[in-house]
Amino acid sequence: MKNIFLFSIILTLLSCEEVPIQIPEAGIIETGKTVLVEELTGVSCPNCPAGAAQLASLIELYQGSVIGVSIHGDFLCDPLSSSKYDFRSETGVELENYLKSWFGKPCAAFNRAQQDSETEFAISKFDLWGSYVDNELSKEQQVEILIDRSYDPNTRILDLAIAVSPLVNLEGDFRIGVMIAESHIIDAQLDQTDVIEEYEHNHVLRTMLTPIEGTTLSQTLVENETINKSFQFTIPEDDNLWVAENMEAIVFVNKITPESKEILQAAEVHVVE
Amino acid sequence: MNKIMRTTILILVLWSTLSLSYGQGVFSGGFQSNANFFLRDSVIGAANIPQYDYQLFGAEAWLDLNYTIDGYSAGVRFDLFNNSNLLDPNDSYSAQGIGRWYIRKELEKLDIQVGHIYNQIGSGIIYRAFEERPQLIDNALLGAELRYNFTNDWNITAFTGKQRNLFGTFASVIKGGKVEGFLSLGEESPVSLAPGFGVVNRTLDDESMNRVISIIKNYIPDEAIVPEYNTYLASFYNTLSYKSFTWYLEAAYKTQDAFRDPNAIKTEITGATSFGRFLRESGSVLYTSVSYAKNKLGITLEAKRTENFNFRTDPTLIRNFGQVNFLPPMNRQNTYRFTTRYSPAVQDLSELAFQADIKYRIKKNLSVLLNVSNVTTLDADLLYRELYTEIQYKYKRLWQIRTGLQIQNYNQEVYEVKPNAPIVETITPYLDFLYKINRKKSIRTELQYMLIGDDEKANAKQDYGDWLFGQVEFNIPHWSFVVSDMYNFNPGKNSPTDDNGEKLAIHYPRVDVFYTHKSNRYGLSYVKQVEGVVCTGGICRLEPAFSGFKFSVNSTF
Repeated sequence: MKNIFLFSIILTLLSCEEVPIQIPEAGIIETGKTVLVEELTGVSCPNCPAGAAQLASLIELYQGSVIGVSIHGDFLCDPLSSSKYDFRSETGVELENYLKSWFGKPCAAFNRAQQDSETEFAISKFDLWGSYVDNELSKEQQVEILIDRSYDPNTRILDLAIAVSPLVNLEGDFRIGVMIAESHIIDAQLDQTDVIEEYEHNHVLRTMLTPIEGTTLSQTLVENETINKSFQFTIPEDDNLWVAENMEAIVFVNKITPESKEILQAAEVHVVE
Repeated sequence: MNKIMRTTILILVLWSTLSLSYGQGVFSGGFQSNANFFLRDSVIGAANIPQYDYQLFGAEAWLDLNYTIDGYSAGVRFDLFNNSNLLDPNDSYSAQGIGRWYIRKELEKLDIQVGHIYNQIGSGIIYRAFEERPQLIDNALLGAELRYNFTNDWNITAFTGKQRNLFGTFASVIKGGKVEGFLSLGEESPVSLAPGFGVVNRTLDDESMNRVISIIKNYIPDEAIVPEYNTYLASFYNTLSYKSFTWYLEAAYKTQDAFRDPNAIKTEITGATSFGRFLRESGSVLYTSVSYAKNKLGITLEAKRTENFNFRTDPTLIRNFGQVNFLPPMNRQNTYRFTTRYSPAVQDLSELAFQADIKYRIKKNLSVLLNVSNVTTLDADLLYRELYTEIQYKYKRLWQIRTGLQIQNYNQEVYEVKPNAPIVETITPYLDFLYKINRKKSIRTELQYMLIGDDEKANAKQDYGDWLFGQVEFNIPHWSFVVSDMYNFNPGKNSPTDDNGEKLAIHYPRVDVFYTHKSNRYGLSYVKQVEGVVCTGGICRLEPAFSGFKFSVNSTF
C-alpha cells in the first residue's frame, strides 16, 4: 500500500514536462503613454549604482517612453570624503518623504502610482522596475504634453511653454510639476566593493519650479481643449555644475485625490538641443 | 458580509455544534500583545520612520483559541497590528483580522486537516511552514493536509495549498508529501532507524511568472534564462540511534529554479555592469549531525553544505518573505547580550559550515562547555567563526556562577550588506552570577565586555568599537526587576557622531519590570537599543536602533 502511495507521488511530481516559456522582447509597449521613474538614490548608497544602471537600461530600452530622475534626499546621501559636490537638496528630502513608504535604496516610484502586490510605494527591488514600467505603459494615455523650450545662453534664462492636451474628459484636482535635472556629473559614488571616484551621475534632480506635488492645472480636463502654462528659470552660474548642455526639464501632469497622487503623463526636453 | 466574518462565524458554529453533539471538550488558548511607545533619538538612529516622526505608538496583538473534542480540533487566531514596526522595522504596518484558522479530524488511521497548517519535512530543508512571531514570519500553508498511519511506525502525509501572506496568501501553489517510519533492529543492543523521504513542488502563478519574465526580458542574450513554472525538491533523511550515539543525515536536491544571486555580475544593455542577476540552477544541501551522550559527556558534531538552495513561493521576493524552506543554522544559539550581537544568518546560495559542541560534567556542581563553529562560502571565503567556552559552578543552593569567553570572526560585509566592512573580530568575556537570598528572593548579575578589532582602512575600531555591559536582576515572588546598561565606551567606525563629527560614547540603558500571576505575564520596559542583527529560531534580520517604552502581555489559558 505504502509503495503505491510513494510511487504515485514521485510519478506525479517528476513525470511532467512543461511547454517552454517564450520571453517577449523588451521595450515594445507603444501606447503614447510615458512613465516618470523617480529614483531615490544617494552617493553613500552602495547598491545605488546598480539601480542607476537599471534605470539607464530602461531609458534605453523604452526609447522616449521612460523618463528618469535621480533624487538625492537625506538617507545615504551624505557626501563621501572624496566628493566634490553635495547633491542633497530640500526638494530632494521633501520628495524622499513624499514617496514613502520604501524599505531601502535604491528604490523608485513609477508615475507615483501604488503598484499592485507591493507594500512599498517606491520599490526597492530594482530587478522588478521593468515590470512596473510595463504596468504604467499599459495604462490608457489620457493627456498629451508638448513642451516648447527656449534658452538664452547669455542670460541663462530658460523659458518653457507647455501645452497640456487632454485626450479624454476628466474631472479632479489636476496639477502640473516641473523638474530640472542634470546629467554627466562626474563625482565619487560608493559601490558594493569600493568608492568609484569618477562615477557619472545622470538625471540628478537639481530643483523643481513647482511644489513637489505640482501646481494647480485645472479642476476639469476637456478633450482636445489645450491648457497652456509657462515657466521661467534662470540657471545659476557655477564653475562646474548647472551646465546647460547637460540639463533636462521634466514636466508631469498628475491628479491628486485623498488616495492617490498618480502622474498621468510626463515629458522631457533638453535645455540645449 | 466580509471574508473574516464568514470564517469566524463558520468556526464558532462548528464549535457550538460539536459541543452540543458530543459534550465537553478541551478549550485552550493564549493572548500576546506588545505595545511600543516611540521616543525619537536621532543620535542613535531611532528616527525617520513614521512611528518616531508622528505616529508615536505601535502595537501588535494575537489571540489564539483552540477547541478539541472527540477527535475534532479547531482553532482560530485574531491578529492585530497598529502602526507596527514588526513586519518592517523601518516602516509602519496596520491591519487586523483572522490570522489563522484550522479544523482537524482524526478518523482512525486517517488524519484530515484544513486551514492554516504548520508542518515540516525532515529538518525543514525542503519545506517548513512555521511561525516566528518576533519577526512576524508566519509561513503557514492555507490548504489541506492528509496523514495516513499505515502502522504505529509508518505514515504518509500529503498536502497542498498556498503560503500565507499576512491576511492573504501568495498566489503560487505548493504541494508535497512525505513518508516517515521507524525501524528497530536487534534485540540486545538495538539499532533504531527513523527514515523519511519527502518531496515538494511549487507551481508559480502567472503573475509571479510575469514578474520573473519582466526582469529577464531586459537581460542581454548571454545572461538570459528561461524560467519554468514548476520546481521540485526532494529530501531523504534518517536518524540512526545506537546506544549513546545518534546520527542524523539529510540530503536534499532542488531542480533548476530561477533565483536572484546578489553576487552575480549583470551586464546592462548600455554595457554597464552591476551586481545581482537571476540565475537558473539546481541546488543541493547535505546536512549531518552526530551526537554522543553518556554519563558526564555530551558531544554534538554537525556539518552542512549548501549550494543554490534559495526557495521561495515567488522568486522575486526578498528578505524573509515567502520562504518555503528553512536551513538550520550552524552556530551556537547564544543568549547573552554581547554573545548574540554578531549572529550569522544562514546563507542559502553558498555555505560550508561545521560545528562542534562538547559538554562535560566534571562534578555534580561543576560543568564545562566548548563550542566551535566555522562557516565559509563554497569558495572558502570566511563568513563566520566562533569559539565559545562556558564554565558553570553551583554552590549548594546558595549561589551559582556561569562564566566564559567568546571569540568571533564575523563577515559584516556579507551578513549586514555593508560594503568594505572588514571581518569583525570580537573577544567577549562574560560572567553571570546568581545569588539566592532566600527561597523566594534572588539577585542575578551579568557583566560582559566586548573587545573589537581595528579597522585599519578607517583608522578606527571596527563597527561600533568596544562595549561594556552590566545587568542586575532582582526577583521576588511574582515580580522581576531588571536594570542594565550597554556602554559604547570606545566608539568605532560606525558609532554615532556629534555635529562636529566626533564619535560619541553612548550609554544604552534598559529598565524592565515584569509581573507574573498564574499564567499571565506583564512587562513594562524602557529601552534604548543599538542597531544590530536579531536572530530568532535561526532566522536573522538587521534591526534598527530603538528608543522608547515597551509594554507586553502574555497569557495562556
